[in-house]
Amino acid sequence: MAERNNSKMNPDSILKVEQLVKTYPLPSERIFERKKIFTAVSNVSFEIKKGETVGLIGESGCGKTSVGRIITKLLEPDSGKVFFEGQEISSIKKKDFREKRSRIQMIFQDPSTALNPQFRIGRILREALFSIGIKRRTDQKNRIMPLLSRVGMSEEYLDRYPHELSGGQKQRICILLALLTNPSLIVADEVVSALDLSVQAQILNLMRLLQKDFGLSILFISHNLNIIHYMSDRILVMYMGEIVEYGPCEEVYRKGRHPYTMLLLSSLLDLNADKTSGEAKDSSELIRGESSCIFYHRCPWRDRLCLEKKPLFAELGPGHYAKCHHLDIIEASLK
Amino acid sequence: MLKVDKLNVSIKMNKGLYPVLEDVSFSVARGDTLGIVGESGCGKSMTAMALMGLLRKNIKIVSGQINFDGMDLAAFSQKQYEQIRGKRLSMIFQDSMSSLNPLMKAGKQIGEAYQIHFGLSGDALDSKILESLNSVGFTNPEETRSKYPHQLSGGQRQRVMIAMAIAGNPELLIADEPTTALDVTSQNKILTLIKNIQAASALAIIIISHDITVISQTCSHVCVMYSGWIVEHGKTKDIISNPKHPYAEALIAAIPNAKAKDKELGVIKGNVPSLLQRPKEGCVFAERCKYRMPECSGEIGNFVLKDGRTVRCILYRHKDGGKEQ
Amino acid sequence: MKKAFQNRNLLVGSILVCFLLLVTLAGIFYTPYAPNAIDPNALLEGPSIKHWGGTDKLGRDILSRTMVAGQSAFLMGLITVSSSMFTGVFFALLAGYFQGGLGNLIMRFTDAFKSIPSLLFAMMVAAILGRSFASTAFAISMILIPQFVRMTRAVVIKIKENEYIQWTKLVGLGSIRIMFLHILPNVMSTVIITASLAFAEAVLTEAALSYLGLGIQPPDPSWGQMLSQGQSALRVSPWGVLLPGTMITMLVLGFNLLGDGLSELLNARTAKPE
Repeated sequence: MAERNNSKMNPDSILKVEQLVKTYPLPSERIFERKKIFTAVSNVSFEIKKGETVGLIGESGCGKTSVGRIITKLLEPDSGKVFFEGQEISSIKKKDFREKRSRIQMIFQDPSTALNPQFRIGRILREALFSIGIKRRTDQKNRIMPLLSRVGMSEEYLDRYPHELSGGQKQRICILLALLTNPSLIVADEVVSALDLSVQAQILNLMRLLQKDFGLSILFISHNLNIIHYMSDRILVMYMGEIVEYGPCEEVYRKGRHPYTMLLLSSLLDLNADKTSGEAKDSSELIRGESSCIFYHRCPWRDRLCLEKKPLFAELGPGHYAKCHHLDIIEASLK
Repeated sequence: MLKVDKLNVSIKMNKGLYPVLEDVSFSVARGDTLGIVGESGCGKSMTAMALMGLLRKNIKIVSGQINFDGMDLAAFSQKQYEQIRGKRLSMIFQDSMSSLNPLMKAGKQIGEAYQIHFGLSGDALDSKILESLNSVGFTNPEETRSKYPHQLSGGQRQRVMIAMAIAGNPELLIADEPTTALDVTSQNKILTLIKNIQAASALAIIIISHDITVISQTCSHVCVMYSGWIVEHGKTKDIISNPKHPYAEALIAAIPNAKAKDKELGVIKGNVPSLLQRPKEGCVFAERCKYRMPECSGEIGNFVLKDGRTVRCILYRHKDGGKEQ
Repeated sequence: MKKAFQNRNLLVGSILVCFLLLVTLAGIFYTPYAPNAIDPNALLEGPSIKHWGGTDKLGRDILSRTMVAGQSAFLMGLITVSSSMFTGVFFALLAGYFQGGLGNLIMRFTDAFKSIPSLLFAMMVAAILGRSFASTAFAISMILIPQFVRMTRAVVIKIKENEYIQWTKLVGLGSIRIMFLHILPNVMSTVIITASLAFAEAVLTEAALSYLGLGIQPPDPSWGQMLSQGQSALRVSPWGVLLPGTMITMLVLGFNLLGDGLSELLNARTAKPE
């Protein structure tokens, strides 16, 4: 079994996600109404190579957090597969996952709720080691100390409670917490959006440094294109549960061609370029046929084809794909 | 039109008096947009509250003047404020969900503003509501007016708030983090809308934000605040391309830059000091500053450079034509 | 600590409770008269130098009886609150952590139990197990359990969504460890507040039961029983109900204030870490 899974995965990739789907039932407004279903993640597939940082960008509610939680097994997908280090992990039982579990770690968005307020920092860190079976105090200490200085903290902080630290310090502890179990993949979900600009820079620098030194793979989730661009080797652009464009960082950042990517880019660069019509509606409000393009309602280039047929990924360059029928027209319009 | 002069505000806590704003001075002319940028706790929201007369009971204006069209707002009583707040002075907040009444339809909330300011009612009020919804970019105002706040998206709610804020034809509009809760794409719409409104009515706007890119897209002038001080004040273009104050310089270096992906981001060591840790004498930024020198612990005044900007740093005593104010 | 003194509810509440505790504890070592001693020469007397609280219709000293009755009131409160707290919190952790199957089962059971009027339930218990201190304690404990389950479960559900609990699942800690080591300390403030309010309810219920003749059996004194006896002679001597009535009021008020004060203090601490 393991053998067969192995053959499915590219040898130099660490994570492979295939056709992930996650839906949630929406609360019905009337009693006898049929339950509506909200698709948070729809047919998402991607790969992360060893030592690579992949940026996942999208606006709030686009499903990027769900993707992160499915990979870390905090959330069960409805369908689809997750392969990690050559093994399929989406369907295996909790018991069998224990070994691999410590190899995938997550850093959460808000450092002020990511650390148990009742525990001292040292205690929190020791719990992480307890989880991988390191139970002797001295062993725990030997593991924590060297990493503590790597994230720019000192021993005195071990005796403090989380609320005695600043936001940046807390996030450093969260990073340390993620590194403790010797992971190969880290899912970083909006790790700096709760921080001030000057502290944000400290954390981003630190993450880049540690990533290089530890050879980590990172799935970096954010809504901020500038930060994604700064951190990532490759970018995935997500809109309403689907990946609409992906490719090498510079390619997407400079030559993103999906209308949604272009909208994101234009909001970054030029305020007056108001090319699009309509803004994001509540996802529940959007009536869209199963077979029409996900971006149809906001797209300036939409036509009948987009309504009737869902676009497939088309190649724009080496490793650069976008899900749009009209890439040629868009390309031409830019010249 | 608005001129704030050496405004000092203090907070009373544990029987002590702690300064939160020190010698804050700036001015905004009609048709101008001023940005106030800084990290959380730098006093930017406090400045807005002081201007609006909305300071909490334990926070007091100690000295200084807020000169608005010939009146000194710093000496205003709450009663006097009620005469101008919402009419000549108006404000929009970050959190549109909690600023709108959840049980009242959007149209009615806007209508209330017109009732109060102009005593409109009946058909006149109705058409005014539709007109104002239209002016903030709703293509289908009939439909929007009958929706409750929770049925609107964040961007739409923010536009309803703007419609309410400008109902009284204010001369000064203060926007406190108007786009922070929004997605990038709707953020753009709101900023464009604010710009358009300004162009149409020539009101003065103060935009408060932690996000320098928001400020750079909308404001001609900017104040950079740190720990209760305005450390640098001048044209947005100048400050972003060539910041003078060490803090402004560090802040701008900390933004991930498309052109320098391989470089490390600039970092300010340490943390923003809390109210209690704030240095009582000398420069508030000295502890984290890389140009720190002995003189920094003395009195620091404002220096006006030859390109017109004001920098509150002792480095500019003799540099760049700096003249003490 | 300084904040604790600024909190008026907490201050008044703890003064009241401490005062009552002192009075009852003193009763262990000294009472002016033996609580059950009958004095046929002094029936239904008002307060005097000999009998500060007056005497009842059998000529027993009301002050002495009130002091001794306080002991059983506190003991009853302590036993019922601690036993219901342990069971209640245990089930609350289960119900909150395993939302769905097991959690629903616990909650429906709790709801069903809560729908039985508490006095009726206590009478039923007394009818089955007999009238004794133990059966009263059992009945009151059962009555108190649902509020611990409900209050605590609500907080568990909230805490569970926090990222630091998500993290414990992420690194694969066991459910028992997550529940008791990671979640429990964070719900303790709620538990303590609930316990303080439950204490007042326990004493009140015990008094009600004794008033109806179901609780502590004569000749041993209890406040509720003294109230019911004093009531029958209210016209002749209104003094009989004064002391026990005041004690019940003070105790209930004291623990309620204590609960409110604690919730102000503890919630403020978790809400604003500075």
